[in-house]
Amino acid sequence: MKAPQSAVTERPGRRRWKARVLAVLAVLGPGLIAANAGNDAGGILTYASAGAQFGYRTLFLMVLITVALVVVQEMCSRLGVYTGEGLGGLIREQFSPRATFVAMTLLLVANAGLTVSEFAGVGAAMEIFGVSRFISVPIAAVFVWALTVLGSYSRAERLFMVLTLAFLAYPIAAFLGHPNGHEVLTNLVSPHFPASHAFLVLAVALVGTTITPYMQFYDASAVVDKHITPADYRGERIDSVTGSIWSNIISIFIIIATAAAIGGTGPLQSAQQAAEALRPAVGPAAPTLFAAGLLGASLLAASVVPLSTSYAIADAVGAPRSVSAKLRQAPLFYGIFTLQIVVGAAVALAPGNLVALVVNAQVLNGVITPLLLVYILTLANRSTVLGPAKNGPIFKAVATVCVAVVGLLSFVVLVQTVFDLG
Amino acid sequence: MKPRPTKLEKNHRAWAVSRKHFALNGTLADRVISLAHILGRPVRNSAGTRIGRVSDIVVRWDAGNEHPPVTGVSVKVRGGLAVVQPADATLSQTEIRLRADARMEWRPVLGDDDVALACDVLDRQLVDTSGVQVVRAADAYLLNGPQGWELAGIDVGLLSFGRRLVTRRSACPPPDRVIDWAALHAFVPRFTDTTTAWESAPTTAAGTAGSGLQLGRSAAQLKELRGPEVAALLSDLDRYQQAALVASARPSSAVEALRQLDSDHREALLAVLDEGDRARLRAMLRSSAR
Repeated sequence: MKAPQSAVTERPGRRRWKARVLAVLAVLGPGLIAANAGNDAGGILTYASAGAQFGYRTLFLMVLITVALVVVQEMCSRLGVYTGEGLGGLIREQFSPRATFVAMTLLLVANAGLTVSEFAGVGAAMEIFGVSRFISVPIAAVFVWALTVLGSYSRAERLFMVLTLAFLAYPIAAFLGHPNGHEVLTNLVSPHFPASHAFLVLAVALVGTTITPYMQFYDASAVVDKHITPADYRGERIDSVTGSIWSNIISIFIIIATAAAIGGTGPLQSAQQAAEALRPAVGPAAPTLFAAGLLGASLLAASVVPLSTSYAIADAVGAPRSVSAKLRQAPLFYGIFTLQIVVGAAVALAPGNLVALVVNAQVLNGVITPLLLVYILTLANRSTVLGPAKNGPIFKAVATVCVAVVGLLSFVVLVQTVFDLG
Repeated sequence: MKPRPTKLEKNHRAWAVSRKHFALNGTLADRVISLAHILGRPVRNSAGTRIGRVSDIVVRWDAGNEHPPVTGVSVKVRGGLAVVQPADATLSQTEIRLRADARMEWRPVLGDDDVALACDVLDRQLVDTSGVQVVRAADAYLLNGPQGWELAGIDVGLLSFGRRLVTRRSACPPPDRVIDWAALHAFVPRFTDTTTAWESAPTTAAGTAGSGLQLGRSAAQLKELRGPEVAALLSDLDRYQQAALVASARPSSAVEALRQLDSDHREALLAVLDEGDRARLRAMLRSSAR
C-alpha cells in the first residue's frame, strides 16, 4: 500500500510534533469541560456581582484562584486517570465510613446550594423575558427532572450548551466597553485585599463558584469515562491546566466587562443589570442574549449537578446507579436526584433578590470546598492510591498552601458571619 | 426451553438463600461474627490483660474452598503487627481471647492465597456472579462451622453501612442484604514482593499501568458468564478491576464483551492487561472480526 504523500515528505521532527498535538487533542475535553462548568448561572452572576460591587479590585484574587484551580483540577484528573475510579468510590475505599459520610453530606449540601442557584438563574433569566419566576422555576424543575429520568438528555444538553455560547460575548464586551487599561493591569498583578467583610464574603463566593466540589467530582469521573490511561496522562494534564486557565480568563473578562459598564454601583440587584455589561458588544440585544445564555447555563447545570451528586453518593454507598435503571431499581440514586431538584426549585422560589440568593449559594460552596479539598489532597498524597504518580514534594507543598489559604479565607468569613463581626 | 432467570430474579433468589443461611435469631446467632464490628476490639491474653486490638482478619482463599477458612487474626500491638492463628484464640463479637500457649507471628507475610478482609474486601467492589452485579461490601460475616471459622458472606445493604456510622455492636447485627461468599469474586491486590512483611509489601495496584488486581481463584462461575453479562459488569468497575474480570472470564465471553465497547475503551482496557492475555484477546478479536 502506498503511504500518504504527507507522511513521505514530512520531516521526522515535524511528524513527532504533529503526533504530540494529536495525542493532546485526543484527550482534550474532560478538564476543559469541567473547568468551564464553573461558568454556570452561579458563576456568571457572582463574577458580574464582583465587577459591579468592587470594580476591578477582585482581579488579583482571580489570578490566585486560577493557580489554585489548576492545582486542584490537575490532582483530580490524575486521581481519575491513575486509579480508573471516581472520587466517591475512592473516598469510600480510602477513608472510614464516618469520614465517607461526612464527605458525601458536604457534597450533597454544596451541590444542593448550587442547584438552588441554577434554578434562581432560570428565574432571573425568564424575568428578563417578563415571565414570573413562580411560573418559570416549577416548569423548569419538572422539565429537567422528566428529561433526565424519563427522556433522552443528550439532545437537550447540546441545545443548552449552544445557548451558553452567548457568554463568549463577554470578552468582546470587555474590550468594547473601554475599560481603564492601566487600572485593569494594576489590579491583575498587584496584590491588594480590601479589609472589609463584604470583600471577604465575595472572595469566598468567588472561590466557591470557581473551585466547585462538583467540578472536582465531575473531572475525575469524566477522565474515567473517557478511558484515559496513564500513558495518555501528559495530554490530559495539558487539557486540565489549559481548561482551568481558559475558564478563568472568561471569568476575568466578565468581571472587567461588568466593572467597565456598572462598576462601583454596589452589589448586583438584578440579572438585567448584569446584562448591561454586554451592551457594548451587542447593543440593544444585550438583555435577550444574556437571558438566553443564562437560561442555557442554568438548565444545563440544573440537571448535571444533581445527577453528579447522585452518582457520587450511590457509588460511595454501593447502591445501584444509572440513568438507564428503572426508578425501583435505583431508589437511592433517583431519590437524591429528585430531592435536590425539589429543594433547589423550592428555595429559588423564596421571596427576595435572586442575585443575592445565587451569590449566597456560592458562599456556601466556598465554605464547604476546602473541607472536600482536604480529602482530595490526602488521596493525591497517598502512595497506596497513586503509587509513583502521587504528589511530589513541591506539588504537595503548593497544593497544601492552596488548600490552607482557601480554608483560612472560608474560616474567617464563617467566624465573622456567625459572631456578626462584619 | 426454560427461560434463564433475569438479573433481578437472580438477585432476589441469592438474597433469600443467604437470609435463610444467616437465620441469626436461632442457633447461628452466637456462631456468627460481623467483621466491621470486630475491628478495633480488644485482644486479650489468657489472664484477661489487653495486649492489642483487632486490625484485620485473614482468610485463605483458594480454589478448594467456597467459604474461605480464617487463617489468622491480625493484631495491632505496640511495636507493630502480629498474626494469631484462630486455633490459638477464642473469637467473639466483643473481644478475642488468646489461649495460654498461643503463638504470635510477628511481621507476618501474606501468602499467595491469603486475603486480608478489612484491607482487601470491606468497602471494596466485588463481582456477584449469581446476581450478575457489582456490589460494595458494607460488612462481612464469619461463621464458626464444623471446620472452624470461615468467611460465609458479605452484606451490601445500606442499613449495614449506616450501622457502622453509629457505634460498634456488642452482638452481631442482623443482616440486611447478604450475599453468599460462594457467589462472589473479590479483587485483591497482587503483592509484588511476597518476602516482605505484609504491612510494607508493595503491590502493583497503585498508580501503575498493568493489572494490580487479581480475582479470586475459584473462578469457575466467572467462566459461566456470557458476553453481555461480562459487558454489563464492566460498566460498574474501575479499569484495573475490568482488566481482572476480562482476564478471568471465558475468552469467548471476554471477546464478546470487548467487542461491545467503543474502540477507545477497548484499547484502554487491553493496555492494562498482562502481555499474554492481551495478545490472546487481540488475536481472538481479529479472527472474530473477519
